[in-house]
Amino acid sequence: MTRQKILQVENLSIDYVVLDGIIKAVRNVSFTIDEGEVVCLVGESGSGKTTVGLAIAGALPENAVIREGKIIFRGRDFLSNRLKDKSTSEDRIMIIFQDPVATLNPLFRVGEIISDVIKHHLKITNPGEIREKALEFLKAVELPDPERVFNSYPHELSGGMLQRVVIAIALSINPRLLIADEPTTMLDVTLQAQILDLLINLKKKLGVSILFITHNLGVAAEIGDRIIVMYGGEIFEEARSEELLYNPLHPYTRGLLECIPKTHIKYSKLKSIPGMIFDLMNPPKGCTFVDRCTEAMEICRNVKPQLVEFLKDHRVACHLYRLEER
Amino acid sequence: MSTPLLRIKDLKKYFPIKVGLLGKVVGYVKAVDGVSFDIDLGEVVSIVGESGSGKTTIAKCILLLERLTYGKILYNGEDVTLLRAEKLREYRRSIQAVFQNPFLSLDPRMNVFDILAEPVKINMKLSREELYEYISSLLNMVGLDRSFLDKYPHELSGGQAQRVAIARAISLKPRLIILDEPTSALDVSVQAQILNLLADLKNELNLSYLLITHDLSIVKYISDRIIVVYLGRIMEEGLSEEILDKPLHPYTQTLFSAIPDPYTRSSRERIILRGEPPSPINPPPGCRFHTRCPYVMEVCKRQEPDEIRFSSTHKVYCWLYVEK
Repeated sequence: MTRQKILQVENLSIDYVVLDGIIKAVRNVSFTIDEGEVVCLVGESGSGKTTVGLAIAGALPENAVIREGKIIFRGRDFLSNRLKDKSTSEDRIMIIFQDPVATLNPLFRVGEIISDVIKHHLKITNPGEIREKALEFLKAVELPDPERVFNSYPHELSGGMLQRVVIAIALSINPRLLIADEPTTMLDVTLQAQILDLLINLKKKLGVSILFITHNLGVAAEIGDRIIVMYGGEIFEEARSEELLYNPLHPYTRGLLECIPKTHIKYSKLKSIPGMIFDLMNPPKGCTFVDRCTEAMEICRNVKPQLVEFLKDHRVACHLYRLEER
Repeated sequence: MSTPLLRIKDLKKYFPIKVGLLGKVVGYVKAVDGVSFDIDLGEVVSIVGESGSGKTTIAKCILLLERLTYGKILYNGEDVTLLRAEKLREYRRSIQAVFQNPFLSLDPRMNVFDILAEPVKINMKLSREELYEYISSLLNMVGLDRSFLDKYPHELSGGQAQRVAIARAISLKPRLIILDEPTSALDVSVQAQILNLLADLKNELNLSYLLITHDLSIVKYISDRIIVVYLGRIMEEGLSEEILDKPLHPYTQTLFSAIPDPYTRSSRERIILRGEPPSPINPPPGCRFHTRCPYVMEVCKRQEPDEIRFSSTHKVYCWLYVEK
């Protein structure tokens, strides 16, 4: 049985126009998300993962230009019809960010913020009904004492509670897709574990698809059905979570996995990936990882590797893996 | 027994809560509430705990950025709050710090040379050539080259900026560096580079570190001893191997199980802590962890557990290990 694809991103390329030139933030990115699936975009700073998320949410900053590509959400091309009937209940995409404090207006009570969203999107006008709905979702995110939270200002709540509030707001209008951009990065490990757990439960309960953006492969492994590894604006590897973790193909993915501190093995020294990301304004001609790669070959400098399905459901962009040699 | 480099004795730091115009004190935030430990020369001690556990306040007290409410900090046996003049300057030189966000700790209006030269000019008498040579050698030690000398912080990546902050911390040849979440603002690949750099520098310069973090997964790569704190109190302490192989306190165990490790996803039993740490204004009576502890018993709510020693180095404060 194949599940329906809720989102298809095809050949997406996005540039940022800045004073010094053009930053090629996203290049030729294609992937899909199935109904009810959690897909993780993993990459370091500058990998373009957040830009992809913003593009899907329709929230790119003004200096961003979509050079080419399609974002097809529930069968319709998003980029050409964005403005038309954008808020039919089927077509909602919500996004949550890293810093809940910056997301919530400090001048309004939590209850006012969530009621506003519900009123606007669900077209409910009866205040009692709005309140009921709001409390229902504050309860769904396992906030203790939702009544008190409803009447609190953001500064009265802790970071973990605020992130729950933000999730409640995002889910209160039944989105089909939730984009979560590093939602646990600012939290302590114990709270991070709570929030990941909550997202997994809500996904099961509400059937929402999630695009989870993170720099931490460990977090991605906890929550993702599928993991996409990005580097310098391109997809390097994509596979189901277990496959990617136990059979990583791309040298970059292997490097990333090696530099995660492990709990079950003892190393005297942590492995690291030497060097740093290339200049995004002048990407190298061949593979963009070539200068940091331990297995770089002559061809890597000159020819850009294509993303190929080297193993079943396992795509990789690296000259080490060529279809004809399989 | 030799004197430790730094000895913290029953350290307490209470912040008064003031209300109204007159600043009437209505209560205290008990950020650190009776913490004692030693750091030996060349030793790396890690303090691990969540936000609000008081770990950063301990660091600030050691750096003399906060006055102690109670307790003593002894440096080579001398009470640091009583140090004056040259002795105090020497202490400040010997204890340096690296903070979480390098972009906040580096002055955006100064280039790398000026950032590194400022403390050196004040504390050492060097000619211009010597100064230049010295600063270049510092950059070298942290893995950067001379081309960085005239860059400004905004031109650096997070990892490079943190390297500059580390270079500044070692510039006055300190004995102890306090590392307050030195890698939590960095990408994982860069985090690994910085941790390795810190480990190398420690061996080269015979430094001691006090590493402060909420992430138990990074501490084992670098520390000799681990201290787990919760709401201003020590819950467990021991050698790294002891804590990592056999975490005894339920709080330490939950911290471990919260680490997202891709390879133990299914095999491990996860203990997820419910709720958040209670307020340090009114810490719970008895064991402070009892409100969130999965193994809570009646006695935990009434009485604070005493220290229980499992070895000469491994101590835990928990009623589970008290023989009845």
